[in-house]
Amino acid sequence: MDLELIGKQMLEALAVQGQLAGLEVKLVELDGLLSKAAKDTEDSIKEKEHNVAAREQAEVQVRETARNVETAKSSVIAAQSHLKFVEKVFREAEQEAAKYDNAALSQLDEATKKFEEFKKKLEADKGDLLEELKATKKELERRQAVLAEQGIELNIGGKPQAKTTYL
Amino acid sequence: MASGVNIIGYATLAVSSSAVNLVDNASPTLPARANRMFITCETQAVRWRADGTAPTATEGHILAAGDSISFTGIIHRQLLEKIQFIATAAGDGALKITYFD
Repeated sequence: MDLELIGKQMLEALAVQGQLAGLEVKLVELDGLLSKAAKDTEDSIKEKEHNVAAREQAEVQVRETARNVETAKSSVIAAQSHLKFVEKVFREAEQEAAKYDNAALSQLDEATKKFEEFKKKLEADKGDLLEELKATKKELERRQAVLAEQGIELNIGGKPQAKTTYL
Repeated sequence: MASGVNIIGYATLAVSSSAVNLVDNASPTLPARANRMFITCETQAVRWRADGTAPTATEGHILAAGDSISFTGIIHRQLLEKIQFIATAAGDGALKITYFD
């Protein structure tokens, strides 16, 4: 073999070696890209799994909330029913109280009338007694005058007389 | 005075500046069967109490000289046993008492 051919083949070998090195670098890069793609895929799967779990949890919460709403509705209905009952009892009590109020007012009116009548009678009696007192006083003065003519003095408004207490 | 009562006795009670009672100090003392009495106060005003506390010259019911009390409306045995008298001022007083049953 001549040297020229050997040199030419060596140069070609070196060129192939260079291409091989470039291909190795590309291979490493592709391997990296492949690893990254695998990781992204795994992350995506995990995220999807997480989303599915979250959706299921949300569905459970929605069902629970729906049950709570139904329970609350039942409670509201029961409370409304009880309120109606209480209102009925209250109205009946009010009507009953009104009866007593009316009776009490009637009795009060009656008592007031009697009091007024009694008061009028007292006023009349007072007038009669005053007249009687005046007449008695006049009669007393007359008798005092008669006794004074006979030298006898009545002890009226003077020294207190001895008294007896009965127990 | 209640009808049908019987006179049990007559007594005098000297009253001065110390409280006296019918059970210990009257002359004669309170008869056992006496349930009522009529008392008159002589020349000296006295005070009396029957609630178990002795009267003083300034505390108690006043009974002026010449006044009388008739304890005859109901049976007054407890009052007769508890009543105490005292003079309202210096000087001796006296009560005259007639007892009834």
